[in-house]
Amino acid sequence: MKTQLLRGAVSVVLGLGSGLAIAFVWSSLHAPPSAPASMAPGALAGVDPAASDSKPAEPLDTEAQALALWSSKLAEHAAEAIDEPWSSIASRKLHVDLEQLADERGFSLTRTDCRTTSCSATLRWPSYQAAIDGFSALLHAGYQVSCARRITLPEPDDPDQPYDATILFDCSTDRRAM
Amino acid sequence: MIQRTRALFVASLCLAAIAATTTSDAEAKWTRTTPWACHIIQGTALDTNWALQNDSTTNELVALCPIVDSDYLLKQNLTRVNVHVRDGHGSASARALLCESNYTTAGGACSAPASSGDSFVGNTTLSPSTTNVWSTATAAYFGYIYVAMPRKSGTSRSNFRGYWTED
Repeated sequence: MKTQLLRGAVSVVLGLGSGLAIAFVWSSLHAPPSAPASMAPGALAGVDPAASDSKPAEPLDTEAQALALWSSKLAEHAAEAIDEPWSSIASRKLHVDLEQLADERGFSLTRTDCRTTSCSATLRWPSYQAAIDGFSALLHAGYQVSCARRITLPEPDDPDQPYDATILFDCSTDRRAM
Repeated sequence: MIQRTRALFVASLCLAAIAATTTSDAEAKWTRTTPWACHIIQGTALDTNWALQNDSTTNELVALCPIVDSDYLLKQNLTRVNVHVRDGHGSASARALLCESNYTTAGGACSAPASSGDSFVGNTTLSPSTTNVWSTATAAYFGYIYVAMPRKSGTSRSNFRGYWTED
């Protein structure tokens, strides 16, 4: 009888131990990273890698990293195939909305280009400062096509010259709704 | 006897796994914030009552609201955002967008807007998609929520009561 009880107790202890161990390993493998990849020491701007051993570092990026990300977004859009009739319909709607914003916000619209799930629009402001002052309105505006929007304004050589910029629209949500 | 021992072992293993999983689910993190944390850039804010109200009959009220972005709750891990509003205008809508400002360069990004709809009047929750903003690639960018409330219609004011985020 004692032996049976002992075996039962050992089974429970082993079972609980193994279960917790498995759960721990599983959660370690599936847990979200405690810090973004860009927080790795040495990948940061203005952070001393030696000092970041014990304390987490602020997740900073460099201008080069920001511009590389922006270039990759532009390239992704350019590589998309043109899917008619959505492409033409979305381009037309976006063109109408941006023309109206252009009148109100002092820029000119050069081109709109919609493909499979993304669109781009090329805009021209009278100067770089005018672009800095005006781009937020484009991010927050309501458009007939429901899209996420992103813009980056790299600093030009001559900020007083007319400034051309591209705004990208990710319209996957709109496409799923169709 | 061996069968009973095995059964006890398996049952204990399952029990431990279930307990561990339940504990893990309970670790979902969230924040709840009042609109008083927001910066009003347009409209006429009337904040003497229980919610931030737009008292302007000509302009929508626009609020820029900070989100928590910390080692407790990284913005790139947020999966749901609820913005609690009352749309008081029968032909204009309340909107909310999730946005981020670039860190080193000028620029930024916003999600597609969540809208109450032009004809809707009443209390509603706007839940913009977190899919296209706040990614790991933009961890250095500063996150915020853009909330627009319709202008006052007669005596009917739109209001903004707060927002909730969850990872």
